[in-house]
Amino acid sequence: MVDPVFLRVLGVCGALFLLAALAILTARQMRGCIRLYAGQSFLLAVLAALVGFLTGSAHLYLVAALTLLVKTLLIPYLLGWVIHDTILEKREIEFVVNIPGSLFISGLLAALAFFASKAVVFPGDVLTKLLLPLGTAVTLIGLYVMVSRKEAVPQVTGLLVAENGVLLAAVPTAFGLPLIAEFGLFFDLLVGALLMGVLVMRVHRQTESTAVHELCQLKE
Amino acid sequence: MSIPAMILVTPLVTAGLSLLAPNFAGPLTAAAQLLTLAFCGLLAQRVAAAGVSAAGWFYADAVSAFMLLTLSLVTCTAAFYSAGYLKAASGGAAGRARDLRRYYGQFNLFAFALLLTPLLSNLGLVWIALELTTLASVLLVGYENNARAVEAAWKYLIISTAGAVLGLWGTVLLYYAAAHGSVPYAGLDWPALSRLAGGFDPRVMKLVLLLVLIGYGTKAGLAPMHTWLPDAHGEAPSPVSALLSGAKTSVSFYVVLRFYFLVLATLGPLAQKFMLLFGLLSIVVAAAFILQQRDYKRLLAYSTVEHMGIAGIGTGFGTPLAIYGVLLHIFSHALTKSLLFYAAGNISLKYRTREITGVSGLLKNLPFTGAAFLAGVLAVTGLPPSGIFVSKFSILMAGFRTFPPAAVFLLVIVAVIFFGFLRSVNPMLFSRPAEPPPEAKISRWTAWAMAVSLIFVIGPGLFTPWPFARLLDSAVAVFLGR
Repeated sequence: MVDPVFLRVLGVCGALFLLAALAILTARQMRGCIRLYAGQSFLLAVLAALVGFLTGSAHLYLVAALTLLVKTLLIPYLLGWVIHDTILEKREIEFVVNIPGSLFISGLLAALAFFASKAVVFPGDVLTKLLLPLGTAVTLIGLYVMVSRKEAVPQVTGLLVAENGVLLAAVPTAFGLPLIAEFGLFFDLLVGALLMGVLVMRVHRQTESTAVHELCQLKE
Repeated sequence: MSIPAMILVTPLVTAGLSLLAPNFAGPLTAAAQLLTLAFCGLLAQRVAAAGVSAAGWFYADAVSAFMLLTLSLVTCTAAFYSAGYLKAASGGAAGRARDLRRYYGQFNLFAFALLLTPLLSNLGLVWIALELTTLASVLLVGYENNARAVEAAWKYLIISTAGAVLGLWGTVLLYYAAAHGSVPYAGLDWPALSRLAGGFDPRVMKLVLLLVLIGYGTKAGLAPMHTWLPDAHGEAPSPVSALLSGAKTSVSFYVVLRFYFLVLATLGPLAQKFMLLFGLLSIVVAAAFILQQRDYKRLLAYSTVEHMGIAGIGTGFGTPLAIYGVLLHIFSHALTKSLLFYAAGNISLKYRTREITGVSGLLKNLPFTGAAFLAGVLAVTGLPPSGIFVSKFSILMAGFRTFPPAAVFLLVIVAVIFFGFLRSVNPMLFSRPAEPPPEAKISRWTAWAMAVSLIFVIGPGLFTPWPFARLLDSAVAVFLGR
């Protein structure tokens, strides 16, 4: 049986994880988005390590270490390095939906996530019962950030947040990957984020802006 | 070294060599892909004899072997075509070393990732390999580095990665369902999952179905998540469009199939209906855009959406005949569409435009390319004798027995698309040449690529060599368990 104090600690970290997603939803400054993402990834690493300690899974310690290295340090650092400072210092003033509206919508998404997860959790599975709804909610909010922001950097952050959500949902199941595959997974995530940074710069060079929602030469 | 390892090492080594000796990278890549094709043939032969070939990390059943043959044929012709295309695109000169490095380095990595995916049985590893195909091809899509190409690459990366996130989510839930199945199994190995799939919890599997169809369907180009596809296929250099359309969407659909048959074992008709829904939506969207298309490369791209839709519909029909049709369809479409993109590449080199109205007198100005284009268009719209005719016919026959309304609907849409295609292509081919188009040197390498593709476009419509037919039959048996 899981120690209730331990569960409470997990719950607090999970709640902070969800809060970080909401903070990214409302952060105007580009650099702020990336920093919040780094913070959220740190919480993911902590959660993975805690669950690893609880279940005695060495596998999850590796996941925690890789999250710390790739998602907390490398991706934010590389994005800051690839993307020009003038872009990162900018603030996004206009959202597709204003901030109160967005918060309301993400509240609905979180509620949806909690009810949907409740339906699929198997009885007696305490860890999944706690983490699956959180992961689901964060994934949905991340995808919502992608569609509700007009600028490239917050869109990328939204995608990365959605990734974090899925990884959190995978934590209680210990991924089910062969050990070495974790490296492959995090390698893919790292290269993907780096490519996004490179493309943000190329878009900027071509159009003098990173308002990607205005990219509409290609249609029909 | 085992055969799967050889299949993978060849493109990897070639990628390295291309960086060292960019001026020889074209012929080198072509030779390497020919070698890979031979290895894939060897593996297919071994699988046909032994049923399954598993060595260490690698696993190949009849479906994998069939996919490997399809993919390596396309990457092989694309390598030959690239050698000619890049030369012609840089005005007959060898091209700048920097561009050649960039192109062939990524081309070979892309080929590596494509061939890796069917060689894995752990679905988590499959996810990694499939995502690698996207990452390796993003900068190839943006190769031209102008505003349109960058926009296409951006949309391609963002939408595909969003799809990958959903796909990963589905994979995690599948693992969760398997771990709590009637026979608990903690792993993602496909053969084991396939044995146990009947005992998974249907509520979880419903979510898996939705996430997998949307997630991996994004990469396969199923509507409504196809929006990246026409942009990427239109803006990429033509050999890359051929690879995206012939190989990338095929291998993504292969992954959809692997997941789908696990879900089918639990959910039955519900899964079939979902698959049909996505398939039907795809052909409707494709038909709407084909009818009003002004750009011939985007016309071909929407035709890819159509054919992925047809493969989805066939999968939904679900009888052995339908699955046979689907697999043959993936093969025939891969070869036919790559042929069409090769021809389209030569057309754009000659006429320097991608507007349908800017091209006239094609058969007179470029006789071989024009003839290949005509043959490809007739094949892709489903006229006999062609592989696509046989596969469409099989799918329709199966459909009339299982879901007659869907089959009738499919027939109508296919007719509409046939009309749309001929209306667009007819003036390109047969009208009188408006003015003599600028001289453009079309390399003989491209003719070879098209000639080889043409054999495999028409071949399966005339007769099916028995080793190929046997491989197809055992591939159907892998999915339907008979």
